[in-house]
Amino acid sequence: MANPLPEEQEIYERIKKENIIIHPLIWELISHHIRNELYMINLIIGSTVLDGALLNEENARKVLKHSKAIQGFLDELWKVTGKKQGDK
Amino acid sequence: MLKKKIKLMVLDDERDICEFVKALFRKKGFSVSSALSGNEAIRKIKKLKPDVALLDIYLKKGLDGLEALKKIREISPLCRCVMVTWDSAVSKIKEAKAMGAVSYLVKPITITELLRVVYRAVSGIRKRGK
Repeated sequence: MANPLPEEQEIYERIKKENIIIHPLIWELISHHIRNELYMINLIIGSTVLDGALLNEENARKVLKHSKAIQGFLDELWKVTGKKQGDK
Repeated sequence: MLKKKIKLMVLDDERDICEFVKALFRKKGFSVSSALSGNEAIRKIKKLKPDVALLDIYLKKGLDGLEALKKIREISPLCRCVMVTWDSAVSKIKEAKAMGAVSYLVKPITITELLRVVYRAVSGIRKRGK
């Protein structure tokens, strides 16, 4: 698990206080891509853990493939939604 | 291990998911088949009459998981259907349950959760058989 940002709690409080929401279309994309890829990673790692077996190369490559898919999706989402103040 | 081989159908348009779920349940003593589309699932269900079906709702082409569920309830009413999807909308969950799904799992699911829900569906079959 990533370390929380130093001001993460304040960010959550601000989101709640200012009622900042994500558009349902964006949530739909996030849910579809992230949840599906994580499910696949869970299956690969979970089946390895259940069997007590070492993660073989083929499955390690599959984990990488699905991790990269998450990264690719976030990059795409950033391209279309991620403009910050001052960005062109 | 199970006393009698329970027949499981996995419907998911992601090949990797089908393969992993198939391998997981075969190791547990199930007889497992899979389909990458709703239409393929219906064809196989007519022939194989599975006891339990794991149905993904959102599929790239053809019937979606809910349409497949509706057809399965017609052609194989004893089959216990578990929906597996990323969509956690309460309306979707209610719709699936109203159509006869016995469970509704929201991805990402852990293997432990998947096993627990499928075994629960199987225990429903065993109770029904008594």
